[in-house]
Amino acid sequence: MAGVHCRLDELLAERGMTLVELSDRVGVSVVNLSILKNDRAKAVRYATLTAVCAALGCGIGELLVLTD
Amino acid sequence: MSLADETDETTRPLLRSRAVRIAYWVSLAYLVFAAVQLVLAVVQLVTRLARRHSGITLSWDPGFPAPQSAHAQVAGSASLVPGSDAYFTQMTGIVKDVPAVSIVFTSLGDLVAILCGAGAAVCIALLARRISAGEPFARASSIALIALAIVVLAGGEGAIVLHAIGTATVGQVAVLSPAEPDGMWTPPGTSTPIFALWPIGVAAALVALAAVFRAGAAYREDSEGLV
Repeated sequence: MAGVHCRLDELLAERGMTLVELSDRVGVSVVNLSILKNDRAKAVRYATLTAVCAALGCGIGELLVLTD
Repeated sequence: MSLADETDETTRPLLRSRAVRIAYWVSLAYLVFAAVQLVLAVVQLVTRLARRHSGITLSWDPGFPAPQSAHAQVAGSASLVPGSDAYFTQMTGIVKDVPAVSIVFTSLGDLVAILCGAGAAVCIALLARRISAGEPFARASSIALIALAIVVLAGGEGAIVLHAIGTATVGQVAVLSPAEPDGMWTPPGTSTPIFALWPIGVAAALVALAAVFRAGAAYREDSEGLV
């Protein structure tokens, strides 16, 4: 069954940024970003998605990918 | 820690809510107070039963018409309108030979009222505990509210009925009165209400609140895992 994988870990590593720094920039708690990073989120707000992508300078397709 | 706990940012301020903590401790304090009241009520029941032949302090509704002169004119202060229906609704005195059944029912009414208050305190304490744990919409909250509604309805109405039975079984209290031909005056006594609307109103409000909490629980479940 296909699922959605969040590449937050990889994108953060590429930019040398930590989860705490990202949390400060986007105003989303570390707990929630951790849930997103570990593919445990069941739903994502547009606001969260927009803020994370803007902070990382990436597109939504780079952050979220469909997996088999 | 569950996923719901981790993501429930909205309820996090409740963990530090002083009002909720105060509600919890006030409920616990009331429970202690109710326990003391319960002991005192039982002691009072036993004492009154033991002393009922020598005389116990009793308050009752004598239904005694207020004396009024048809021609008296009062000026400068509020006064009773001559010919109107005015009654004394409470007398207090040391009365002997009060029926035991009356004492028992009156005390049972007191006990039920105390237990009703204690039950309400338990429900409020449970509710405050859930809320201060950051889970206001837990299933236990709506159950506590329904239990509180039942306690208020059953306890409130039960206490009123028991007090009414206790009052009714006193019958009439005879009072020595030299002015009467036989030296005895027996006020007619009036009926006591055996039903009150307030427990129904409060219980209905609590059931409605429980429905709100159930809806909140459904919303919370729906937003689990939302980031």
